[in-house]
Amino acid sequence: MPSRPPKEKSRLDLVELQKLIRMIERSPITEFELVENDLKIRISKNGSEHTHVIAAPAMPQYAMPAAMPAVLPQAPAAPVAAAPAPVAPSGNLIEIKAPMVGTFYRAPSPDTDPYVRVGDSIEPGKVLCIIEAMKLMNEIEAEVRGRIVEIMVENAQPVEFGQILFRIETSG
Amino acid sequence: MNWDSKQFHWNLKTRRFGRDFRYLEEVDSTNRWLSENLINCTLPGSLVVAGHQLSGRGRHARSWLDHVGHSLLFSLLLHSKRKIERPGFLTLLPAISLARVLASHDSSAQISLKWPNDVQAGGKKIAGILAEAHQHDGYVSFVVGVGVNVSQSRNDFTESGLHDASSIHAETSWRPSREIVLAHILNEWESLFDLMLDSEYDEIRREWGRFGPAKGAPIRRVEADDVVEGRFEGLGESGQLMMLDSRGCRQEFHSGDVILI
Repeated sequence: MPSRPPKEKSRLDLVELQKLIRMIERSPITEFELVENDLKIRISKNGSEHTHVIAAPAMPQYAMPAAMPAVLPQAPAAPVAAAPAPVAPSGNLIEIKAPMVGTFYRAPSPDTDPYVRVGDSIEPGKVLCIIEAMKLMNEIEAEVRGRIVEIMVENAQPVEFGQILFRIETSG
Repeated sequence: MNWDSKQFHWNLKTRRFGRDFRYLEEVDSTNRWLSENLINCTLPGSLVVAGHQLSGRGRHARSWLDHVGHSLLFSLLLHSKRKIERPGFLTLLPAISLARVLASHDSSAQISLKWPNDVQAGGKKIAGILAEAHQHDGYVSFVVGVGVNVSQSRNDFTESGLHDASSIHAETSWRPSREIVLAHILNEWESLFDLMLDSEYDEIRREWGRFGPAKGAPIRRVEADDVVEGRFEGLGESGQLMMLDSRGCRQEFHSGDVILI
């Protein structure tokens, strides 16, 4: 059976959800909602730039970006991008997006410190994270001067092309 | 055990790969050394070989066991003025190269590739590859690290609890030195890299497919707690793993471990 958005299946897995998001991102659809038993997924494109995903319970594998509170199952669904940022920004906010598909790593190896933490100052050329694809560790560097306001992905989680990784408050 | 540069260069038929060469008796990791000394190695194909690595690394910082004089440990620096469209393919090339070399020297040996780039002989791992992409001054350099078990006995691995690892000498009828293995890998690798620069990705996928799992082979893909079982479909456009899961849905993965079941 080809991988159509499932109607008869009881639950989407992470990969299917990612595919769904990608399909919707590329399509002219601005809102999409799927309700089935205990699963509710709403995807809406705010303007043309971002895709917000709201997932109500039963998404066991999907680690929501950092803005989602830890009490995920009971938390009221809220667009990720609209959640308050941990560090109150005062300058211009920019997003750093994944330039490729792969696995996101915050540190060069499991036993070392992360490249950056929320609140850290960064300069152009500073390595922010690694995205691994096919055993190629791709360093992702900052292109601006500023400060890390929010880290949107958990360590060792898969990321899709264009997924927001960091929010940066620019300076200078 | 000393490195025989004469033997290495005698067997090297490349134009670029390995022409800028250095041998280090001992280093923490050849990838790290090459990354930190990029500035001194402006030629593409610059090569560093180590007699011994103090902290050779695999994925998730898994250590790479090396036996002095028996392991071939090296890193190659690659950069190109032409944009490399699908960099994931870079890590497939040395694996295909070694598989070709082994198959040509022992046609009865059971040589296989485990996605994406582990080389196996007799079902045991004999080589691993880990690469890094570094951005600097607006272009990207790739450091590709390769570890090959050349002349260990099976006991050398089982004594360390590594029952799935072995060496070229133990699993094939070929008895090369480290120098010969390296020269032969680089000879193949350079021609595959040229294919890649010409965007001949289908050709590279076909070559990988000669040694990869048969289409439809039952496989299990594991990444942390995420386990998916299904059937191998082939390599995707970027070299990613394509599989049909147990429900018949197509899945694709860019990382993780894959085993035949």
